[in-house]
Amino acid sequence: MARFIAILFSGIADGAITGLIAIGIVLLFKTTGVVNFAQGDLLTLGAYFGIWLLVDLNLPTGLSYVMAIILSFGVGVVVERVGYAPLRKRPLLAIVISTFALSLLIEAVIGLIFTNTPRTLPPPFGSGVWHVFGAAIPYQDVLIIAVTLVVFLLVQGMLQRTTLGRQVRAVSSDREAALLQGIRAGRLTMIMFGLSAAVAGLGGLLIAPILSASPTLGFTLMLGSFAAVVLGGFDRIGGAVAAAVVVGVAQQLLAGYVAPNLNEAYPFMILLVALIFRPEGLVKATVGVRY
Amino acid sequence: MSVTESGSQAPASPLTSASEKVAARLVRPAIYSRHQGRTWLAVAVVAALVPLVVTSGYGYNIAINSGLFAILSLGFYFQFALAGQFSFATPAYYAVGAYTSAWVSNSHGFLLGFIAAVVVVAILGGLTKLLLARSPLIHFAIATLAFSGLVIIVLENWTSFTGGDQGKFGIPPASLFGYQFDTQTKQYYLIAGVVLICTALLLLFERSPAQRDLTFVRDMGLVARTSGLRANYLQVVAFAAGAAYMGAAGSLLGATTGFVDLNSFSSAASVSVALLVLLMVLLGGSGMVWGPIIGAIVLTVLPQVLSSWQNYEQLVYAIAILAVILVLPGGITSLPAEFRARRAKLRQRAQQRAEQRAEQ
Repeated sequence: MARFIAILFSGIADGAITGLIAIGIVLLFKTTGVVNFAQGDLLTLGAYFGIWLLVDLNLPTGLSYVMAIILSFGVGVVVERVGYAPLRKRPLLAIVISTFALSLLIEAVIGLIFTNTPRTLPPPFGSGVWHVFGAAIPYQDVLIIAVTLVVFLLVQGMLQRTTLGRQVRAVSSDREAALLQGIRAGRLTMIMFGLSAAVAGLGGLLIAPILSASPTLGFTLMLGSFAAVVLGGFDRIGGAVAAAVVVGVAQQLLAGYVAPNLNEAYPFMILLVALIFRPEGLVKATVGVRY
Repeated sequence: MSVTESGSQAPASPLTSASEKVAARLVRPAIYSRHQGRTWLAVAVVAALVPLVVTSGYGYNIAINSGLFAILSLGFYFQFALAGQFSFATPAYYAVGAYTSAWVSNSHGFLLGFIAAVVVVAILGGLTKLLLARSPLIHFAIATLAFSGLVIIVLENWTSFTGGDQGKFGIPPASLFGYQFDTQTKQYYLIAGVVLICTALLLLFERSPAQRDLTFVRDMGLVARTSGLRANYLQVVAFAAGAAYMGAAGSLLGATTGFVDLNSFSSAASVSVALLVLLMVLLGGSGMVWGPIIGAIVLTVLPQVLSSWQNYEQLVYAIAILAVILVLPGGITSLPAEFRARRAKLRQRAQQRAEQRAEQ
């Protein structure tokens, strides 16, 4: 029982991280209709920003977290300017390849600056554990789950309750009409790229204390969040986050009870099975069009 | 208009926008470029003369390597440019082809090994596309990324099949009907021959009605379906054919080096093989058969010349892909057409200016 609860919790925490990447993917898909392959590497970048500010420059924890998130936002905007804006009128394939190239670029730059040796970030609330029904649950796991929940609620609230969110929904349903209403779709896309990068960067800050940061950290995690986004629906943030938690728990359960040595293969398998059997998602929804 | 009179205009690549392509079609309805037979012959003559220039074993290594990558890139061109499917699974097909051929040729000789590799990988490729038939473009790309990762993990753990870390040794050199390809010169000719055959098949395919159907399906999927084309069938076959090319490249890898080891496909190298092939096709040009071949040669020779690249390899590749996509979506092979179009525009502008002056 204790083991089950421990596995369950680390699964939910894993799912929460993939959920953070998934939120970024869905936000971008809603506004632009493209999938950003660099999303995972933006997470890696967030982790390295944190390590650079907190460990190398010795800044206070809160300040370096905030600065890392702001920097991630900036990188997201740059990604939009370089990899999306000039290609907006070109076929989808060109944009897919350019975001993929950007993902490699980020990975290569991180590798050149920080080398390939794994680094870790000290956990902000120490490495203590909570005992629940005999299972030891690290504070960091609880923090991850709590932060993801807050981010999810904030993003959802932003989409439903603010002017910015209304503009996003307008652009997502009809870009032309939104433009005619005076919405600056170009600027909105830029903000959304920045926002999804910031969310990914936050994910990086949260995961770096658990898994040590290496240049390929985010790319591996991104495969899991792709599975979540496919299962949960490309245009539903709630669905994607829920699916991310399911995928995370399933992965941990498979690793804990079936075959631990195939750990790295599970995200691939879940993703393939999802795409083969339910490419339109677990719950059927209308497929978004690209605007 | 120079566009109509010149035989070859900017070729229709999957990376230029649909409206441009429609405009191109309105000008000149022919979809394939004509007179490719002559170009093919010229290329064959050049390939046959290469051993006059290349004499060292090192030079032959480079030539053989660019040949292998040319076959891989042609396979990718089949999947990417003709079928319009973006796939990351190149290293998986390459590896499966190499190991299948290694096992079969050990017991049944090279020819059967080669055929087995081609058939097995074609079936594997067809199955991938068939199972993922309902996935739209981006989903398919993601799925092939996962598929490739999974295949590499399976191979890494199946040591009795792959020979583990040491790799699989003692693969007999290629031989056809008793003729042994045992020197590097002979091996070079074998590879060059396969590249030429692959190219010829692609050229024949490009002027067949099937290619027109495939382009129709690629550019206007739903419309093609409505007009009675078997969209899925066409794409599965095209994808499988591309995979078969990659299987052939894998088989030739084992037959020329004598051993296959997992390092050339392992998880770290796997992304870079997929990436390298993508860059070869993009740089050479995805609008013409010659593009992938030029790209493969350029990108095999350049790193040898600029050996200081080593540390910055990934960075350079990433920037190169971005640059090609942003600045030259048609690749190197589109340069003459681009140049011609620009000159025509300049001439037109000069003419207009002259007319204006005449009016004044």
